[in-house]
Amino acid sequence: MDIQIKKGVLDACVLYALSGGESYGYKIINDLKGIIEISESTLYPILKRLEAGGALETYSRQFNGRLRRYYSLTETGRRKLAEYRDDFEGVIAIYKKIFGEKR
Amino acid sequence: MKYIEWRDELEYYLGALEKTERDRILAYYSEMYADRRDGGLTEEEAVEQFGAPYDAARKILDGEGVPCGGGDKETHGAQGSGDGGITEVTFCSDAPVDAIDIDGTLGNIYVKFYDGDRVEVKYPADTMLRYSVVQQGGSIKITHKKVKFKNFSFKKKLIPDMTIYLPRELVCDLMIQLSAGGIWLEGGNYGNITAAIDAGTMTTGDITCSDMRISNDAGKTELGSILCHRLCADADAGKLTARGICGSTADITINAGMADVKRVDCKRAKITVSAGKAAIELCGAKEDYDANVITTLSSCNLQNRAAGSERSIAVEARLGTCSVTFTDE
Repeated sequence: MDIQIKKGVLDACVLYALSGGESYGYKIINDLKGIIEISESTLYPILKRLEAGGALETYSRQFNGRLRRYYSLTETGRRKLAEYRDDFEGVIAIYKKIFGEKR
Repeated sequence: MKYIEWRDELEYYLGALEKTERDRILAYYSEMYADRRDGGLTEEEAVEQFGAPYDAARKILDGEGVPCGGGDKETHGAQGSGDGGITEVTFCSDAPVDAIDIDGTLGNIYVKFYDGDRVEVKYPADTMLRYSVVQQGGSIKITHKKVKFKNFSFKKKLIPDMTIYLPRELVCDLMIQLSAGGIWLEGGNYGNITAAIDAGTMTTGDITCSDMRISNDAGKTELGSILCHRLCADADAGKLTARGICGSTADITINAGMADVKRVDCKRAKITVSAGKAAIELCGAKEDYDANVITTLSSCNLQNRAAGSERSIAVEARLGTCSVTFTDE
């Protein structure tokens, strides 16, 4: 997949994975399994980028005697996910026009 | 592979990042690892799912927008396949550089000039002893990492050779400290040079610099022509050969195991022979110098002379011999 497209899709997927409430790295990857295969090495820069853009906030909490980092959507994050949805609708419409009708 | 080994390798490949960021990434992976173990995977399975440490680091560095630090230019061989192919790591400076600081234990370090515009550091990835290269402000810091001999393998080369490429127009300070090994400095312009090896080989081409401090306790030091303000060369029990040290205002201090120094053009020379032999040739006539000679159990061919001259030479010979000759140049 083209890197620019992939970046957008992955960001949207991670925002989606957090739209149901707070989550953590391993759970995000597992929750997205049916949708897209994503490795922790791919996930890390996405989380970092989204956090830097103010789309999510993070905090560490005790779990099983160790610290686990949790992520949750901010208002900006929710807006961003909605923007992605609108953008993708536009993209899908274009896609159908370019590729869809030829089939 | 054990998780701890995997993590160490990952940390190594992330060497180009700031420590706080590196620690953050390592904490992230440790959490992922713990979650996998809690999810019922064995250590082996959990680590296998992470993939090769190099690939993980590559993805993270790409995501961080790090140009090429910690990566390599060759295609990277399969991790731990033992095919003996040594891949190369290239670190590129991402900000202006004014100093390079190397604190190593073993290895050969080459400093060369090239036509690029960034400082590049190249070294093999797959060696027992490893470097960590980070840039902190204008300073590139290169240190050796601890060797874990439990991972010892004959398939791996023990000591890495490192080559540092400097842009031609760059003038930076150089600090190199090595326990044993070699330092090769290509001729060119440097700021201040401090190079110390406990026992090794040091070779330099024609160098122009401000201050030069060289010490090689028990090795061999060969210096080409040096144009500097101050030179302090210390070869406790080693052998020092220098040809052409120039700077009419320069201070030269030589501490010899065995020193053979010809064509020294300086204002003040201080030569100490603790237990070796020094042969020094100074530019000018004998009459141009104030000489101050102290001999303990040794000999020096120079006599004390009354003050009143522009140039001075101080000789202190304890157990060795010192001979000072003059050339009319």
